[in-house]
Amino acid sequence: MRSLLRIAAALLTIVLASVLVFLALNVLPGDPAAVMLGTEARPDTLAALRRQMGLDQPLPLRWWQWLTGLARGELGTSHTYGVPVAELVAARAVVSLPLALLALLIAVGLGIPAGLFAATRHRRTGDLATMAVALVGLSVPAFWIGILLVLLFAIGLRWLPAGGFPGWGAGIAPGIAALILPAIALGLPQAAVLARVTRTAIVEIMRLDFVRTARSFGLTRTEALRRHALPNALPPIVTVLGLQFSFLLAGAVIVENVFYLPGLGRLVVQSVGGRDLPTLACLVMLLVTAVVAVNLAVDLLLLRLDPRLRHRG
Amino acid sequence: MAEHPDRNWSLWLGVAITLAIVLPAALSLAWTPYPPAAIDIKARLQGWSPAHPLGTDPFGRDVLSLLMAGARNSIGIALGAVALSVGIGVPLGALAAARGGWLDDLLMRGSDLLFAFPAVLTAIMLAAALGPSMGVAILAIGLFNLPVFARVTRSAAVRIWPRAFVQAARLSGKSRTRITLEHILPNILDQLLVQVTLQLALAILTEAGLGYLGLSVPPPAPTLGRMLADAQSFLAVSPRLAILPGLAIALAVLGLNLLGDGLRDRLDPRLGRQP
Amino acid sequence: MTGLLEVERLTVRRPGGPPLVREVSFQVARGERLGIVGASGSGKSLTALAIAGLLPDGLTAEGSVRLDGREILDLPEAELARLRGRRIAMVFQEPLTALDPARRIGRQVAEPLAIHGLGTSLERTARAAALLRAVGLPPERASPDSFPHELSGGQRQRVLIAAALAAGPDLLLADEPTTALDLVTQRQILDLLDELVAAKGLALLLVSHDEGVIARMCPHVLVMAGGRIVRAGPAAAPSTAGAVLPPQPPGRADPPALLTASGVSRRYRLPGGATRQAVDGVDLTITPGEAVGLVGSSGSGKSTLVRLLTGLERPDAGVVRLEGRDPAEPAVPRHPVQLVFQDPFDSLDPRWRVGRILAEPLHGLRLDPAERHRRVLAALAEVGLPAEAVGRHPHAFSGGQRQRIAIARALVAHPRLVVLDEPISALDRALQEQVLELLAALRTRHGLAYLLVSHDLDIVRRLCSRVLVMAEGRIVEEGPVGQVLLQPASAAARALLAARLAPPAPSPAPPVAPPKAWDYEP
Repeated sequence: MRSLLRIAAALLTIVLASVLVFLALNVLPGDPAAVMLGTEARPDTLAALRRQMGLDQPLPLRWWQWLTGLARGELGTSHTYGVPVAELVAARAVVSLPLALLALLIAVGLGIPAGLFAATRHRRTGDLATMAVALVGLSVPAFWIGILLVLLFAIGLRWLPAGGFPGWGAGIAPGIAALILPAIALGLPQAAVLARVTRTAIVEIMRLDFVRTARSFGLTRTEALRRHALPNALPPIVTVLGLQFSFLLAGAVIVENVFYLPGLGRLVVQSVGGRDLPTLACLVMLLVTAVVAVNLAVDLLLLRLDPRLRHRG
Repeated sequence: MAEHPDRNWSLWLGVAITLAIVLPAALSLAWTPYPPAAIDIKARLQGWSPAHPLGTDPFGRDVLSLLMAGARNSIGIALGAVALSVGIGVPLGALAAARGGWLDDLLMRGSDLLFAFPAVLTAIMLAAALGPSMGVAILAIGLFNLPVFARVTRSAAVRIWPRAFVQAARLSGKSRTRITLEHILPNILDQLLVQVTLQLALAILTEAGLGYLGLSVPPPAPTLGRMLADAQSFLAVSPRLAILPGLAIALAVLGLNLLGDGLRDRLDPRLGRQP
Repeated sequence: MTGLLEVERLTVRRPGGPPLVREVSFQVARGERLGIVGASGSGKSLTALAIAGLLPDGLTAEGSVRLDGREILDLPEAELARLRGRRIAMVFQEPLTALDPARRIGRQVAEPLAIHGLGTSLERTARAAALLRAVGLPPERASPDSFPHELSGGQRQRVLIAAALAAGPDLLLADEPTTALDLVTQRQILDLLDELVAAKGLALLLVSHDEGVIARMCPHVLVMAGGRIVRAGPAAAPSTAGAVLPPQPPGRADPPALLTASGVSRRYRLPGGATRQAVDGVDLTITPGEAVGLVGSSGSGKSTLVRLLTGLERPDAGVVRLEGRDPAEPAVPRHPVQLVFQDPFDSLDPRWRVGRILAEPLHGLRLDPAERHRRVLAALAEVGLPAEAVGRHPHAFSGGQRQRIAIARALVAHPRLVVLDEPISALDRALQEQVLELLAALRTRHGLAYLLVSHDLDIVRRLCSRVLVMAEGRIVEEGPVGQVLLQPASAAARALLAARLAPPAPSPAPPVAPPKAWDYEP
């Protein structure tokens, strides 16, 4: 019941978001037909083109046709590249998705253990050092880490490529090698956020009465942390992971540009440069849908993780 | 019985680092060593020297002057964005907490909607539609932060409303607006202040990203992000150009984060509430 | 005599700080019961936690704690953990937070067995079910598969007791086990502990701020103050005798009502779509100058009724009239009725100075500043606080002083009715006495009407002449206090009476058999 409500709310959010995107990219820039023909165009030519492009129809109808088209997978044709947007997206997604996964892996694999380590050393040197590093990690822009990594590993040590992507056709290893630096740049700040959240969640829970109760049953502090604090710390950690997705996405748009990776983020920036607004509209809707979907998934996961939530309205 | 009296170093270190960036940036409003946009091709790509303490860029512009003016633009945009999100988000959150019911639901759904648009994406959309400008950058970052303030305000206010002193105020016949102004906001100010510093830090990070993509203030006005983008072509020749602006961004953000953490520790409700 | 537990010169401190527990020594023999009583901050809880090796981070213990003659204070955490649950078990104060919210209760009860490797998984499940039954939670009342949030406070405390006893310890440390519960539930939990400890021959160390609780359970008591044992001896229940029953207002034939409620109801929507009828068709009348008590166990609807009567909330059905008008109407000046809240730490805005707090009820009266100030000072003087108090913030005052400030705030607008919502239950016993006397004196002086909300009949008896008994949202009994005390007609009133740990001096014979431990569990 509650899950269904959540799903409905997410769908509504996507529909409303499409209104905003449609207004921003179809109404704000002015009449695309006038832009195409230039200022000297004759009124009847302009009217003909507008009819041909469907611009003479009322706005709500145009929006509805656009949205239902998207829902059916008809993303249109990119006028910069002259290929269907769907093909373009598919070709770029095979770079962006592995990059995001790799970054997530680094963030979780580094951040959660670091947070746990700091929590067990609460207020001791290990804790303070870990948190100092995390604070710095959280303060550094991902794309600057990217530039520094290029400086060190590509220009200085010449271990890894400075940018570009050979394509998966060239084999898995070169592909991964091209993604490893961007993924580190993207993953490090996220790892710092996760480390802080994990530490705070664990420390707060270790203070709660039920952890003391568990110790009074015969658990040592470390066992109580593993058996009681960690399961109860998962909901806040998962929540933050979901919220961070939108930062991961924004970071990816920039980092792909730093490393000249042919991913979705770079496509977004390229379509702005080429004033390819229909393609941009599709891409923005795709990314916004991804944000909403991830947050929906987190909500549904939380319902499973926390028994108290299942009964609330 | 303060639990960690040694924690205030975070606050003061934060103040010191923030001032170290903010003061030169503020100074650039009145004075910079050279006009930031002054091109001098003969003096291009110089290293450290008494004339140019931080050297020059490929156009012979003075890097120190560029950094000062760039930091001023970044901080200005971040301040504008946070002012926008506080100015709209806090009243909306307070209203949602005071009224509850369908209004609460509506406002929170609305903030969910805005939150689905990462600032970079909004900025890209608006810049594509209207062309990049300072206003677009402020609007994009401010819109993304707005839900944060609406939510923080609401959740903090919702915890104050049921308290007995608020009920006493209601018994004296005061309106909800008046109670919000007199009791609720003063009691959540601490939490809002912490959030303001942390969101300022995030706004500076985001602005740097927009600047890097060329979506913040258009040239010739310098931004730290664009300085980094420009420096990428000269990475092998002059790594200094890529390190300095990044360092300035990182220090500003680190200073604000330290400040926010220090404030939070100091205002931790667990430390001060019970005698 | 060989003690099971021997504590010698136990000292607890923060490194470098002053000792919080100073050189405390005592012994508990097998099967013996010992109480420790003291105000908050006296070091009684820290003593119990130090014995179990569960001191909060940053505190260290010195001295000696021996179990069966073996020193355990300096054992490493892993070895100490092996004793906890198996030899020494603990029951804590907060049943709301002492259980892991993400685990089913059956598993939590079985956890000590699992930790100490007792029995197979199947045996442990069966044993947990048996233990839950033994503490009065048969499956039809609370399935072992339920989560803690699905249980009431009293039920959670039963779960905690079941888990503490699971691995068959010899010594039970109970740290304020009933403080967070209402009186009826407290009585049931104490009876249960009494039965179980006697049946299993456990040694019991019971820590409480309430001498009545200790006297009910233990023959001997240690009194702690400032970290030391200041007295040791037989436990005795404190006396609550001595009525300050004020003179009755001269009876008139038919005094006009000050406050009336007729058919007032309020229901709340619960999570998941169900509703709860918090207040169900209540009728009542309070005449000017009358003191009426409203008693009931927690969850009986008292607080909701107060919110309806004062206009803080609107009823779903029925009408409330205060001097003939609806108090929930925004245009109605609310000053004829004022409220004194239970928790003096919550009822004063921490950001405001006392002067501004006291002037708040004068809002809307359009007084000039001089008159406003005069009224504030007069109210302060009435409750015995100096005029300088106006310039200070609430945190500069103790709990008792804050409650006086809250009473002054209630008086400042010259109300006709003051609703007192558990006004002394958050205060120490000595302060309770003073505040009760203050309330009695103020009422006589100003001819105020009181509606005193409490779960404690003894307090009601001292201030009020008439009492209303509430249960499940309805008024189930009404009458003169003496009559309800001596001849309670309703089950709810009998339960409240039976829950009293220390009946007043000339105690009438119990009208009914005291209830079994789990008879009245909601």
